[in-house]
Amino acid sequence: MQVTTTRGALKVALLAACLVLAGCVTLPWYPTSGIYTSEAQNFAVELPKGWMRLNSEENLLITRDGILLQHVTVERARVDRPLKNTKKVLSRGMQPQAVAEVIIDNFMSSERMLDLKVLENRPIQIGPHRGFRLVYAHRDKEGLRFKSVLHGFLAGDVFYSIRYTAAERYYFAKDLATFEQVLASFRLIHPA
Amino acid sequence: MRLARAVLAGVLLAGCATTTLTPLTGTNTALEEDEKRLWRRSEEEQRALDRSGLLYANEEAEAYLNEVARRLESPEVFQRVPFRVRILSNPRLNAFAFPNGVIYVHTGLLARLDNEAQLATLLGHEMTHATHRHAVREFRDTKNKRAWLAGVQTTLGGLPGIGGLAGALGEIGATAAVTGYSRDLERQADVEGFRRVVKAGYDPAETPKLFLVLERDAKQEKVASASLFYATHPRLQERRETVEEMIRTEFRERHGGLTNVAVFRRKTSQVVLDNAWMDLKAGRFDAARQGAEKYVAFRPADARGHYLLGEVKRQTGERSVAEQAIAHYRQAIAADRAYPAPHKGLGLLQFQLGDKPQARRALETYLSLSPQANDRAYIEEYIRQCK
Repeated sequence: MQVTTTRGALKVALLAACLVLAGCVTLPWYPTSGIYTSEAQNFAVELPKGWMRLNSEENLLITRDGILLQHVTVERARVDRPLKNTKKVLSRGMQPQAVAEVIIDNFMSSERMLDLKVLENRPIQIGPHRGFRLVYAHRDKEGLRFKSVLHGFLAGDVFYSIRYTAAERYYFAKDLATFEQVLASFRLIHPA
Repeated sequence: MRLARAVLAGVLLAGCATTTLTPLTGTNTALEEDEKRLWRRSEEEQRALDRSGLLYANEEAEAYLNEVARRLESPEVFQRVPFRVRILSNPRLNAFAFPNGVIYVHTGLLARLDNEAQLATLLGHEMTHATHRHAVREFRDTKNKRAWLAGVQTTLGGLPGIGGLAGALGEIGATAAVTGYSRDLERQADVEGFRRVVKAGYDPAETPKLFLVLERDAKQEKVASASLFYATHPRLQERRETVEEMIRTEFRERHGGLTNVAVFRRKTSQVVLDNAWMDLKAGRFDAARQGAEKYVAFRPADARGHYLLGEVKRQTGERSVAEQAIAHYRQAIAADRAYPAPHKGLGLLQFQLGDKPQARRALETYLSLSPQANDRAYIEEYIRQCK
């Protein structure tokens, strides 16, 4: 049974390699290094070496050991885009405290983020932008505990968030410094 | 999960006994083999649900619900079906029962009820699902069980607002909570549940009002949240008409009965307040306002209700209701001068309105009453902007 499974996996891997070499498909993950620039998303950030970046046109997602263990995301959304779990909305010119409140309520209203606890919520400066820093912990439905740091700010009509989420035990502390470096390198290409 | 699903499917496919089952309210009624397995599986699902963090922690309210359930059935039946009622933190209007008699009621539904007779109607309905063995009957009647089991989770995962609950529930809970039972079984639960309620001495006129609560919610939410959860139930209006017909015929001699409004309010007022906060966080301003107003009506001297009403008005962001918000904050402050939160709400609103001297005064009062406030840095920033 084991042999059959391994053979099957080998066949799939060979087929995948052929498709990639033929240019039929693109790899889902790229190794990271150096500056990552997204003109479409209007930001640039320096990524750590040895991590992997999800090949996506939309938001940036990097991980080293797997997204369930740790990941960093940079996301942007227009303020008029509805949030997933709350009907509350963001709006241009909102104070950072008010933005943070809406973001927390969006998390609190999610049934996937169980037992959510906000550990830190304070104003910060992100380049020229007034923003906020949230540190929070939650459990998933399997009982796994996660801890996150989220820096968010409004630039005109766009909300940016740079977030680090990792398994609370071991992984969170391990890669926090790396995240702080990513954070420090973040800049908007065309400031609002 | 896949293995568990396969085991359950096997259990159900093997259990092709008759679907004509005597209710567990009779004598010498033993569980059938496939039913026993269904009960064991239910216990597993309940353990997972209890660990999920979705339970609402309020021992007094939970004890009260269990007390009402005990009035609806004899101790002998309780020995056969060990009913237990639990509350889930969820502002959506729903309740469901596992085959082994464990019933989960959402805070959202509990908060919308007006008295004990309506609560008894809800519990009577859910208890009937258990005593009349609806789960095993439904499973046996489902022709393509494997496809059905797979379909339940797929369907639930995509439903807005309940994806997480669906994830926390197993197949049995998901059937009871979301997909519901067949139209006939739901009607039986309505009819038999109503009979329990009347037998226990409750006012029959309150029973149709439970359906009105669900109908109102469906209308208010526009997405028909009630029909979302009661998707396979007979339409709410039809269900209401069924019990109204029973009042005109079977219970025509019966006038009045217990409602226990005072005790119901005392035991559930905290649920009303907490649920209104959940509605507010989810941005359901109308539902939050209704909950807050209901709480204030129960406890007019409690500052927390007035503060919540102020928050509902402020967070809508509409200038037209700013004066109302200020009035509610002032009522909260008058009710409890040492309560910091309304000072903050008042300060933030006056900041929004551009009244910086008043905003500064209110925010400074907030910080003096709550020196360790976890949002101190924000408030200090606002105060700086007021100078």
